[in-house]
Amino acid sequence: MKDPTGKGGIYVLTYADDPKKPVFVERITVEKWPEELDFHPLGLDIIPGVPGEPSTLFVVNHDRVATAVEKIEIDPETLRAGKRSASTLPRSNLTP
Amino acid sequence: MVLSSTPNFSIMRAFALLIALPVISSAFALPDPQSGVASTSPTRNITKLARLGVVVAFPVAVANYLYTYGRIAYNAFVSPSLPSGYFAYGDVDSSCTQIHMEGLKFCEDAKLWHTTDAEGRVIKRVIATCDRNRFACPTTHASPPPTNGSLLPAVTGTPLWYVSYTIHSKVMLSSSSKGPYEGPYWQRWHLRAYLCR
Repeated sequence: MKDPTGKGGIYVLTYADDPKKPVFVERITVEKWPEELDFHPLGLDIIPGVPGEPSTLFVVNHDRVATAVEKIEIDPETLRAGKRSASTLPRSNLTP
Repeated sequence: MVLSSTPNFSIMRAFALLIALPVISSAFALPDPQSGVASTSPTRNITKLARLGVVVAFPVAVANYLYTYGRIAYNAFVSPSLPSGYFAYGDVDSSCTQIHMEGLKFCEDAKLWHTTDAEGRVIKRVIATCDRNRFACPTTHASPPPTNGSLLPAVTGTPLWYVSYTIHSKVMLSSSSKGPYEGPYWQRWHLRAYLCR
């Protein structure tokens, strides 16, 4: 990698069906994300929780040394996010 | 969506035939080099047929090439006037709004994220992963890539990968013959920095 230090981000666009209403764009900050840990996100999926519960976000993160699936829980009310766990895979284990 | 900036395909076919037909017709009119008239001897006929085969093969090959790759060759040398974006249900310029924000570029994936608040109102969101540093850090090309993906079973018994988070408390990767679960709020969203209604 030429310069893996810059980190990517998770962005949330809040919209309404009425096209006249504005679209709000916010960047989610994951709390307690380790400073030394890269974040280069690719594919994602999110599971909305039941009302009052956080949603669960899964993001593929291509670290400079490995690939991981980050599991992040996001509160839909406050958009506060916390990193819960990750499954890190050496690149050599990615293929069956 | 029709790409109208390329020429009509029938025009390319007619152009190929315009090249091929005169050459083929001239091959049938080969005269005897000594008498100047058509010969009827078997040897002359075989030679004539061999010439005809060579003469016909080349224009047929050229015609076939133009027929097959004509549009690609056109697009390789002529820059088409493409629209700024595609939207299946309308005009991009009138139906879509481009969203600008610092860092909102080099986005890779996005999903609809619809939730319900405590008062029962549906909050409609799109969540996206973007990496403004992706130009300096092309993750998929930066290190030796894995030999193959696993969308299709390369070896019998090792099909799709999926994430299992309900069986164990931590995230793990495993393989299964079943695809990932798809819930009612999940939809694929082709990623551009547009929001269309």
